[in-house]
Amino acid sequence: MKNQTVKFICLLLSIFIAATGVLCTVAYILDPQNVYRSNTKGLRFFSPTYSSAPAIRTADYDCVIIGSSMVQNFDTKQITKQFGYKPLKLALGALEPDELLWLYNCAQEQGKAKKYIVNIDLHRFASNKIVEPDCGRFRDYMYNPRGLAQFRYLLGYETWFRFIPLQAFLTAIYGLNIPLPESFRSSLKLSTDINTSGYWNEDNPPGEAALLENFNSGTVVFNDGDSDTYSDNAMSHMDYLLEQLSVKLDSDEELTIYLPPYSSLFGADKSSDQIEVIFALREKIAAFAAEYANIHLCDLQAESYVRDLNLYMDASHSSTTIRKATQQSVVSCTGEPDLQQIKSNNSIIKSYADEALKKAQVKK
Amino acid sequence: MLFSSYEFVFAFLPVTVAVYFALSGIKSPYPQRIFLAAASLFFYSYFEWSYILIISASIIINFILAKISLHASKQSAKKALFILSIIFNVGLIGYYKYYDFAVDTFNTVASTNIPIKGILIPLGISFFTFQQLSFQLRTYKSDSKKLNFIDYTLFVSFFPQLIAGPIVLYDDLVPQIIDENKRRPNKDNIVKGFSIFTCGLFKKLIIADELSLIVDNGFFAYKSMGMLPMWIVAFAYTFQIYFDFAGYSEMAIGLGKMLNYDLPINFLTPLRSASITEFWKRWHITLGRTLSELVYIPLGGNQKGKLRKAINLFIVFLVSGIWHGASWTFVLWGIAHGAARVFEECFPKLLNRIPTFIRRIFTFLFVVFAFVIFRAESIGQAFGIFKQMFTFSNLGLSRFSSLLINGIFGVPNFAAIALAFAAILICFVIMLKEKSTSELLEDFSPTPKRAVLIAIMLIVSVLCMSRSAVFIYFNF
Repeated sequence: MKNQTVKFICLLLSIFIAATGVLCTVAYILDPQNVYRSNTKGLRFFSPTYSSAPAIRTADYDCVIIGSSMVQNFDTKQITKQFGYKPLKLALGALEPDELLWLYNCAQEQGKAKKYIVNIDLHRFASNKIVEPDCGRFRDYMYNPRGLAQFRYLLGYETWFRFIPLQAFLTAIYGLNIPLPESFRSSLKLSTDINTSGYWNEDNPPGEAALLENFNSGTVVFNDGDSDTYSDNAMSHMDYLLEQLSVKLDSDEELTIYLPPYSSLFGADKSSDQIEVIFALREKIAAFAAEYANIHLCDLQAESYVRDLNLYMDASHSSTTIRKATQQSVVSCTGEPDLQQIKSNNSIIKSYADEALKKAQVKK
Repeated sequence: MLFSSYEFVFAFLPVTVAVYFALSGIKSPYPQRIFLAAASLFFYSYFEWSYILIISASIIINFILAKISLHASKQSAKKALFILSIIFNVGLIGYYKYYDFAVDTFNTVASTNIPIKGILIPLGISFFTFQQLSFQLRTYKSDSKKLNFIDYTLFVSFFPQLIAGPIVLYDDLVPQIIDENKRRPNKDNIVKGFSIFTCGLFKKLIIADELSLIVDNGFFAYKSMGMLPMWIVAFAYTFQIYFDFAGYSEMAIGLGKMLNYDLPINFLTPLRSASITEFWKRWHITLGRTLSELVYIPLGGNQKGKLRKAINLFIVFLVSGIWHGASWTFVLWGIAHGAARVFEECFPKLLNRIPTFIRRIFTFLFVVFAFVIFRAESIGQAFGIFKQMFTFSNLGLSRFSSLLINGIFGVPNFAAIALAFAAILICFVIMLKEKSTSELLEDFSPTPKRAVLIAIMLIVSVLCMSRSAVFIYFNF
């Protein structure tokens, strides 16, 4: 029995050591710089959850764009052409405020960027969760790899259960010339171009009828907050975010905050007072930006093309038409904060939100 | 420090086991015990150093109260000390775990605005407080004068069981601590313990953490999911919490075994139960045992008639719900289980007429529904999910891809449907086929085939460690 136990230990240890050794070697050969990007037939994956961290550390950039799926409204080529920056997109669908702060802090620690573009989804500030920098869905060990942690990726879940199998699968598919479904190919195409990082898969039916149907049936979540604490949470969380953004910003760095072009129904939520909270947040950001010479604000919500419900796939994601127009607005925005302008925009939003709500109620 | 972390598996565990047994060469047992208690407190404080102050205070005060009680000659003095210990322990857990909840509820009911403190709940407070309350009850009833501070500290802080159980009683552990025969390394126990630990690690990292993707996505976007995806989510959460907690308990039992300690079994394939009564004899067994000792028996147990027994049972489940957390969802979860338990107590003949197979299905479905309430952030969310589960007009077949969003790219919907159903089917098969921890312990033999299997499970587990999530029961 004793002999058997010793054999068991020796066998277990030798298999474990040999296997981990082989796995580490393979991962190192495939990805020596821990960039977590599969490269198959020239396709590079920009999976935000995994590739943002190595991109922050290894990519060549002087501008970062941080935000949710709304980052689809930022075209890096146009930004380079207009402002001369080399942007890096750090986008993840439904980015939480604490994830946003986390990414901002990580980019700040690298010190490469001179320009920060932050897209703020206002409704996400109303939840009861306390806002503080948190890696959330990202992998914290990838962001600040020190000591042995920088080699952790060699035996990492992301490496062995995501990127290497994906790479092997696609290599086989392409090698055997197997046709892929169109939806998969289009999804793959979006995932392999950094400029389309954060793009919304166009799988929702577009147009006013579909949008009103979604609104009335409640299939699209219009806000995340508890109505009792909505206002208090939103205000205090926004104060914290703005303070954190400004504290880390050096005088030679610039920050531009963008308010994304949601549909009017997004504001016209069923609890009508919540739109007032959104307006107060917008005014708060404008007042804050006015205090700093290097902080700018661009409001995309009141643009004329944003008012057309037919251009939306859901309450926040737009069709190609509106996206192209928004991308143009992004680069033409002067970014001068003006509280009066924001207040005026609020009135415009309010009137078309009321109109949209009326349409929704009539349909019901 | 998580059991499922690199730090634990590759540093803390081998160092602790090696040093612990190296100290067995010293004649006095105390260096070994002091080292294990110190290592356990280090393990605990690794999460947050300030926690050590709370657990130390709890251990010292409970020890002093017990020591005085053991030497008290008058029964009235013993009783007073016992009441004091209850006040202290319930006060401690009440402050850290329930203060904010109580203030929030009071604010809602009385329309006041008393500020909430946002108190950080020390890890494992529910576990070590219950453990010490049980010890105080034992002290109150005991005639023994023996109590050693080092042994007591080790009993409370012993790292395999400290944060999420199994809830170990004084008589489970202390006789083993003082047993001279358990001081020296035992290769068979180390191999057996490590193998059980690896099985638990695998359950946690591969099954529970993989299911968390479906669960988190589903609960996040439940309003737009539709019927079938929400059923998958509800099943997925039941399996997630089971494999997470049973995996943790197996790891704890395995770690204890490596150090020659036998910890009590906490799970006996509970999802195969044919009634809620049976479920609670197989699920979190040590909590049931402690609640029985601390609540059910003092209330009179089954000695005061059928009605009183039913009421006592219901109270036990209510306490169990509250013990899990400061939220109305846990209270409702406890009430649901309590009501089912009382129902089974009242109509045993009626239930016995139903074939076992049918009863198993209904019990499983009841557990699934109750866990939806348990996981929900609010009662409103729980009922929103139930509504989705029974919205026959919206099957949600097109929404499966959103259950599997993982940050790389959208999984085609047909593949998502296949993957989601396959995941649940695999869990069902494992649930039906798996061996309980006690069977694993009894059946274990160090064969080469087992060595290969354990090595593969360990390698796959290590590959998943970089995304390991905190154990669900760490929140309680």
